[in-house]
Amino acid sequence: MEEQRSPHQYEPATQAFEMPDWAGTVDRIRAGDPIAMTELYAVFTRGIRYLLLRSLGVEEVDDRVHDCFVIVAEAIRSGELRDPARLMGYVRTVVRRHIAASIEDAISRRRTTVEFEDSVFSVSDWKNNPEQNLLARQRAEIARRVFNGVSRRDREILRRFYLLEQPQELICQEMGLSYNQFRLLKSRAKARFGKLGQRLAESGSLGFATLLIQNKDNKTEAIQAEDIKAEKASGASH
Amino acid sequence: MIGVVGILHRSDEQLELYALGRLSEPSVAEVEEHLLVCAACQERVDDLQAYALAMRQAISREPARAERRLSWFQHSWFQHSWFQHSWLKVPVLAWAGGFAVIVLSASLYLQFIPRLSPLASLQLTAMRGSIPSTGLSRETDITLTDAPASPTLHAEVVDATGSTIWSGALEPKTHKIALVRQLAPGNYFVRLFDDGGKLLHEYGFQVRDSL
Repeated sequence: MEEQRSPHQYEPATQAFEMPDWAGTVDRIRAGDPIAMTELYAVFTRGIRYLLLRSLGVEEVDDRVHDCFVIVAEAIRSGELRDPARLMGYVRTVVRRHIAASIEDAISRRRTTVEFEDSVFSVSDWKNNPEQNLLARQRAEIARRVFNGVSRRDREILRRFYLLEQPQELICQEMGLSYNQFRLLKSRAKARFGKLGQRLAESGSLGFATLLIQNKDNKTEAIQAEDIKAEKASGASH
Repeated sequence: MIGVVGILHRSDEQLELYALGRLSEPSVAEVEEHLLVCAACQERVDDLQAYALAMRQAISREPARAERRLSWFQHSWFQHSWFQHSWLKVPVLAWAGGFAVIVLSASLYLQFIPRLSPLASLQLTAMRGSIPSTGLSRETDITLTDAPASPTLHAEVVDATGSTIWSGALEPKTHKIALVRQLAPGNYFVRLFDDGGKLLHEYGFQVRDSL
């Protein structure tokens, strides 16, 4: 018999991850150990940068990371962080406050300087670059093939979850699904997306010559050379 | 050297809901604290987000209404007992009958169904009084002109009876909602919420019973 589980009980993660022991690090920073501070910086910068990028984009991200880290370091040194085990929670709070303050500041600036916006401020380009545009188009094409390759019932489930943003509970209830059936369908579709993407990238059958490149995060991604050239050319002409 | 203790990575499901902005606040805190120190899960969130976006784009281009009609047709029409008559089992007659039905349906459709404009665009401002209106169309683009500049705004479109027509995250820069379906004539309301579910604005618009 299939196990019934509430959608709120997430599938347990199986792989272990090594987490730094914060109590020791905090004690060493309080004792003035500069190496501990360097270690803390090395552990947190990437994560802080990641959360800031998700919410605020690339603008001034290095300065923002630095500002957040300074606040955290000062709190540790001054003893404001009372429970070292809650260091990650504290760092997250600092980052969230920084994000909230930045958004508030941006809103206030927009309200007060709206008349001069065009002449005083330069507007940065938020559009994806040609490679990103192309990758997004490829992913959408692969997703379309995956979507068309599943049964009508499965398509309805995917449509409700990804497009209509219905909660899992509602989908399971209205379509008479157990939580496990719902979860399996989604993971099967995603696995098919990955396999199909890999196969199409290797065979170059997305309609263009395809080559594999490594992006800055060292992840291999499929890029269509002719399309990139075309997009770059059209970007340059604007 | 920093000491280490073993903890578990977050599940795909939890990370996917986080990437889609649909995780409840206590879990968001849990996931973000983990993301602060786990590069592997950061990459997984990015991958899951790209996958969800691709899936959404793919699905939004699919004609859901046509599929539902076909489903009804297959389940109720073809299962009907008279369809099992022997003359319909002869391929030529069956095809000829089918073709005749299609031609008849098409002519009736063109005669009685009003032609729709492909897309209607509306620009909404939160205020009381007269509300903007649009004619019948296959799709409707809605722009909320005075939405606050927050990256995590949610909106819902409801009809006059309060039934949800659409709900989801608002596009952060354009503040646009794309309704890829035909709206029936009547009054509709767009509600704008912040990250915490607080109602920020409510807008109204009308779909006229004409083009």
